[in-house]
Amino acid sequence: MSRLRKSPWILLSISICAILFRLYSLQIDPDPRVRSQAGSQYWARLRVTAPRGCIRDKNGISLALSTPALSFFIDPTLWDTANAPLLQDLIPQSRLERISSPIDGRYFLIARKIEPETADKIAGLKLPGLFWVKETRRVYPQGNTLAHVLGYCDVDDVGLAGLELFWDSVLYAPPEGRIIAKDARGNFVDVAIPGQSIVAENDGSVQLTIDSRLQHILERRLREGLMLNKAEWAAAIILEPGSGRILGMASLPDFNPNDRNTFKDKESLRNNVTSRVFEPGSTFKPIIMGNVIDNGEISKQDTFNCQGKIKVSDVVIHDIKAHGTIDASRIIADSCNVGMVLSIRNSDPFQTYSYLKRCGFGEVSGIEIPGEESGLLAPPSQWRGSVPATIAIGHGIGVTPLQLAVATGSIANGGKIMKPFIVSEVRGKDGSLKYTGKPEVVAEVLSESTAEWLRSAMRKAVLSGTGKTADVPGASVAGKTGTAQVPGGGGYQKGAYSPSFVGFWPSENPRFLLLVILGNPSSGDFLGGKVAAPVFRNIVQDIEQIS
Amino acid sequence: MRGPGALREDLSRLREIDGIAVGSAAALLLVGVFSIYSAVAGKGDVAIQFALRQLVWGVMGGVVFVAAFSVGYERVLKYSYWIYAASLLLLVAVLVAGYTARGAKSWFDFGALRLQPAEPVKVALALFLASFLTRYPPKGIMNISGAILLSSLAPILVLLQPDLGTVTVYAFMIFAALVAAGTPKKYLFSMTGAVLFSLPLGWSMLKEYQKLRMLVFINPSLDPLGAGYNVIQSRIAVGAGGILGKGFLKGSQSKLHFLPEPHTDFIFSVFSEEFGFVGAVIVLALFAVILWRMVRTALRSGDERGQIIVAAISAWIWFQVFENIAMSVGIAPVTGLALPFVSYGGSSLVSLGAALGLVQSVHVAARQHYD
Repeated sequence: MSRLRKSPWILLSISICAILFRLYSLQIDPDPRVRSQAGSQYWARLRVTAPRGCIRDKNGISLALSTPALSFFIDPTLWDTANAPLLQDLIPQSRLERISSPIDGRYFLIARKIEPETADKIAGLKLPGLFWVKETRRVYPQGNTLAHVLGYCDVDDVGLAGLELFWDSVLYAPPEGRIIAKDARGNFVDVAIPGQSIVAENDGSVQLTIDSRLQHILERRLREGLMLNKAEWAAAIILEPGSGRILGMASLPDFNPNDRNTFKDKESLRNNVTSRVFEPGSTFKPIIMGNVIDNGEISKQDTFNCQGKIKVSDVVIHDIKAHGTIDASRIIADSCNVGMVLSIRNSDPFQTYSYLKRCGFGEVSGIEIPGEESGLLAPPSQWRGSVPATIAIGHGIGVTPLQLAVATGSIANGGKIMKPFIVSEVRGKDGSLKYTGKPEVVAEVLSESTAEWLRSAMRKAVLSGTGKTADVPGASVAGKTGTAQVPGGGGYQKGAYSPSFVGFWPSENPRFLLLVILGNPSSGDFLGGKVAAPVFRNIVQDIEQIS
Repeated sequence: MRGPGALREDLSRLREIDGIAVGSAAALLLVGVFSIYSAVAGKGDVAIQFALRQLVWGVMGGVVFVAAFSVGYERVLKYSYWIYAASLLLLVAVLVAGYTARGAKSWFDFGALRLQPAEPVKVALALFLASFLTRYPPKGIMNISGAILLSSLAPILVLLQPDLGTVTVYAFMIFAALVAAGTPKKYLFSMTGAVLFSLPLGWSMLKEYQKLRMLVFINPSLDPLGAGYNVIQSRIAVGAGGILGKGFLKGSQSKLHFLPEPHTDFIFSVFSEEFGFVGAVIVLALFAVILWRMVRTALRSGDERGQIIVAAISAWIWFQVFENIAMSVGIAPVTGLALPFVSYGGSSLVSLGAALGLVQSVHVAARQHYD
């Protein structure tokens, strides 16, 4: 016993030393690998999709916004395939079939950006191996309304078309990394950095000049007209001629940006107001007439003799009837082709070309949406033979409805080409002002007096000319019909027309300018006065009722 | 019969106890209560219940301590065989009617109360060894074999639960008692040799999970999400503490449920994550003080029975302390052994109270001897 008296002390010392040594190496001089291991299991970098900025109309009504949505994925190593049937009807069938049998990997996406109701159901199942992440989903609360202007995004919230594409730099907020504390089950428990919100913020916004109420009227009446006349396509635009501010823009056929199935028809995706080039026909006449009068080529009092047809170079230009002796304002009111051809006899193609250029034809207007067409305006060196005469009646030139509306706006506002704008204000992610849409005079193309005279001529067209069907009592509408033939196959397609009506009111001091076009109606009527003017009238009536 | 005066006299001798040892034990008990609160805090409101229950058990341990001390080891020893026999019966009973938790039938389940008989049996074993080894001194092979055979009944019954950790504690207690009783070295060495020699045999008798525990002790990354998980997580917890620790209730390993059994087996990890190297050293020092005072008590005692009791109890506490801490820091394989005075558990605290009471009665008796 005596010799073993020291053994307890030795044993105790050895144990204490061993533990102390180990504690020292763990706590004071730790293996960096252990440290990083510890770090990685508490913290995770979480990818947080920031919401896209909002798109609003002029009154602040949301047209496009981001709402929270859940995306679900499974970790196949933890997933029990027997649970798959529980997800029946909650996730896409193809995905359901995949997860019904074992798959490799650690991540398999089963449903992306699910609406809250379905998401709650899926999450409520509490299936092992099923996880979700919070994301945001782009929602267009007004459905089809203004769809072509707004555009749409891909599933990652990147803008693909329309304003969403044009203003992607402000609207899109790239996914942000968040350092999140997580527990042993992988659940996120907290945000690691104080003051950081788990939800990314985005104050970016695009405010439009569009007035949703007018937009709805425009779309409803245009759709009505399209159905009634069995037209292939239609376009309408309403703007403030004095400022170039666009209040409404409608295009048919359309799509619902919330429903990708409606994207299949390519024609539906086209914004006919800015991206369709058509031959304007008679709606072009006031613009040409303004030029020849301003140039002094003819005077407002000159009279012409309309025989019903006229031969220019190698073609014969017809009229609907022989108008007989006709003065300049009746040429507009009665849409006399022969009168127009006679009026431009002395025109200089180079001057006319530059005038049309200044009016905005053959050029993009610079409106803040993508995909704008510049139209077709051949250089004057190519204006041989009948070309100047056909241009005078709106043929042999390709324009977009937007260009036509802007150019006609110069008649309404006293001669100025106003740059059209649809965006009034853009704010960046931090709320700072990035862009403001302001009225901008691009060119002065008509004299005040000529513009005033044209307004009265166009008022006559509604009162007593081809546009009588557009008249709205009390609104003092002025306008011009158009019944353009549709080019195709080296000539004009038989029986294919694009009837249109462009006008403004009140005629003395116009507040609104409206253009309505119905492409290729097939119900029998094809004249602008029969097809487009009634639609125009309905729209004016509705607007007058609310304003 | 003893009158009330005798009891008063017994209690008055409480003044003579080893205040350093008992004070250290009380300090560890408080460390335990706070650590348990912190360990369970991640689970919500139950934390305060766990802490309070531990405190209540601690008070009961104190009562048992006073009782054991007052009665005195000499009087208790008179009944040591009976106590040991009753203990063995308890161990048989738990095998028959026990409650199985985590693969071992180690518990009596009384609804709100769960008791682990293997804990108080440690005290009984110490008493039995003291009586037997003084009556039949382990000088010859017969006596030694008899002592080992009879004292092995307890570990064998526990092995059937199976609870290998506690078996090892018993084995160390028996060995320490044999050493304290003056067993000749040749027998001690041959015993050690025999144990080492039979280790390979023992390996084959181990259950799969036990083998795995040994293997992951050598290389935890062998099964990082399975058997090696505890080891890795505990090591991370201790390592995360650094020098001064993260602060009370700030440890993430237990709060975020990485650490398994944070309030029982891995309480030391919880504590060291929050109080760091400094805290760990303090706790270690408190244990060292208790063991130092106990060994000192044993060496000073003139009564061999007292020496054997204290030796066995010291071996028990020593082994559990160092096995538990070593396991927490990843230098020993994982066993389910609690950290004495600190880990959550009533049976353990009450048994430790009784053990400490007996040790102090030896201590006081030794003082009287010197007086």
